[in-house]
Amino acid sequence: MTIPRRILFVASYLWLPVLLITWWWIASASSTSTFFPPLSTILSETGRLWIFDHAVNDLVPSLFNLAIGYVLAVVVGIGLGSVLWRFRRAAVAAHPVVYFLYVLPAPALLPVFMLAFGLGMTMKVAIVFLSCLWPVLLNTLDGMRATDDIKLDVAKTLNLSVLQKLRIVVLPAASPQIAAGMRTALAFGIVLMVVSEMVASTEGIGYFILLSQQTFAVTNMWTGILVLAIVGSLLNILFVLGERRVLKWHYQSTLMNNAR
Amino acid sequence: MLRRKFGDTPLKWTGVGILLLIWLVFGAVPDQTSIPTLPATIQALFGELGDPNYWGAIGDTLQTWFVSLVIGSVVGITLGILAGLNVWMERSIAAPVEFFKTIPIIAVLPLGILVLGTGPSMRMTLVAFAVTWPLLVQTLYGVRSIDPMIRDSARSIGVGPVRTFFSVVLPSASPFIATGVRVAAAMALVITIVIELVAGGSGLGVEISNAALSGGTALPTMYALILTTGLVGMLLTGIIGAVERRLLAWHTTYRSIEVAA
Repeated sequence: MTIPRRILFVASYLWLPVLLITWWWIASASSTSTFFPPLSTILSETGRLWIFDHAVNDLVPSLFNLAIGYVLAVVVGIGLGSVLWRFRRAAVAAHPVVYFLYVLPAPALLPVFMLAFGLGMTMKVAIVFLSCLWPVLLNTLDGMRATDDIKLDVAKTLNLSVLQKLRIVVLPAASPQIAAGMRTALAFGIVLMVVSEMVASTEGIGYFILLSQQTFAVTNMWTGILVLAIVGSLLNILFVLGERRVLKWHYQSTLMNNAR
Repeated sequence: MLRRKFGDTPLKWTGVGILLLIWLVFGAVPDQTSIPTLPATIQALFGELGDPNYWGAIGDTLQTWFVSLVIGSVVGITLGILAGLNVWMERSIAAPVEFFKTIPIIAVLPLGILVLGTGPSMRMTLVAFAVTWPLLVQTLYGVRSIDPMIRDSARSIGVGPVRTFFSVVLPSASPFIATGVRVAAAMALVITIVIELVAGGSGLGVEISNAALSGGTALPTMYALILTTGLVGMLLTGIIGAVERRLLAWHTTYRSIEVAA
């Protein structure tokens, strides 16, 4: 008897994750180690703590800060990138400074932001904003600069104004790279959201995890890690789905070019 | 005239100059609690340059960065190649890899502190873990991107599997791997600094947070340390880029891949 191909296909993706989780479940079931509580306990505690008590008190404020900082960074990054695209000399002059701020690990600036904005929400939004800004800005600029010269020539012959050229030609041409920058920015933003809460806060999921560790509430810590891991993965999946939808035209045209 | 002779360099320095000028003017405003004056910062930087602790902190950060990057690269590239050569392997690890890749490593940090303490081994384990997954995926793409024509030609002229690996698979995948290493290097530095800031121990992140905790008088020192961190970042990025260009200068598609990355 042969196993149907379809089942084999699905099984090839699932066997390892299932094995790993089963192994974790069995190995930790009778665990007496303080650091590794049984998986069943972690899961039941996650349900008890995060539906919906801590989700409302810790997770929602964290995601709120992330959302504001991230959206602001995307808007400003694309806007500023467009301005710098238009004024080439300004872009050249600004590049070393922007590049320095991009390679400077943003968490190093956290103390500065704490001094400037205190420990409240403003500080957290600001540090998320700053860390997300540079990848969006640099990718926007690079993407716009790489616009096909032929397209720009066509725009010229059609007598498009700068704004029209930006909206109709340059922005769409740069959008795959802008999306790449936005994806990097999202990863940075999540890290900075959590770090800002760990270093300077009394609320948020980062604070919850670190406090649990410091008070040796190990099971609580595990639930926090689990929730954060799931939220991180979900945000990433949502981003990729959204990107595919928005850039559908781009992927289709590259596919056609490749198939040619 | 000037531009033809020197290219964009004068314009770049003008940008840096304007920023420093702004700092000089606005930093001189009294009652600054978050921004020190430029001269004080420069003085603090020179003070630090003579301090062995300063160089020790840089050394610690660089050590964590380097060891983690090497471990992460070896594991990530090896697994990536295996997954690229074997569909079964690729499918098996796809879900776990996607999951590990998107976990913010900072979430695991408290667990790391509990189990491994705050020493170098904890830092290296976490940073290496974090950089392994993007490198693995990048390597996998690289191995997958091999031109089937080249692979089939190698097979039809009777090149064995080992030689195919070294003279077809590895060279084709190398630009992707290089991009992966470049990204991983930047990531490793950020994560190293984050861990030092949150967990303590030793390194530039620890020095920055110590300076921040010592209050107003240490403000210029804190800025000097932050500037140092940025310079270290620039230096490492520069070195990795130079090595990459040197090693891969022969690769024809190199430029286009660099743009795409």
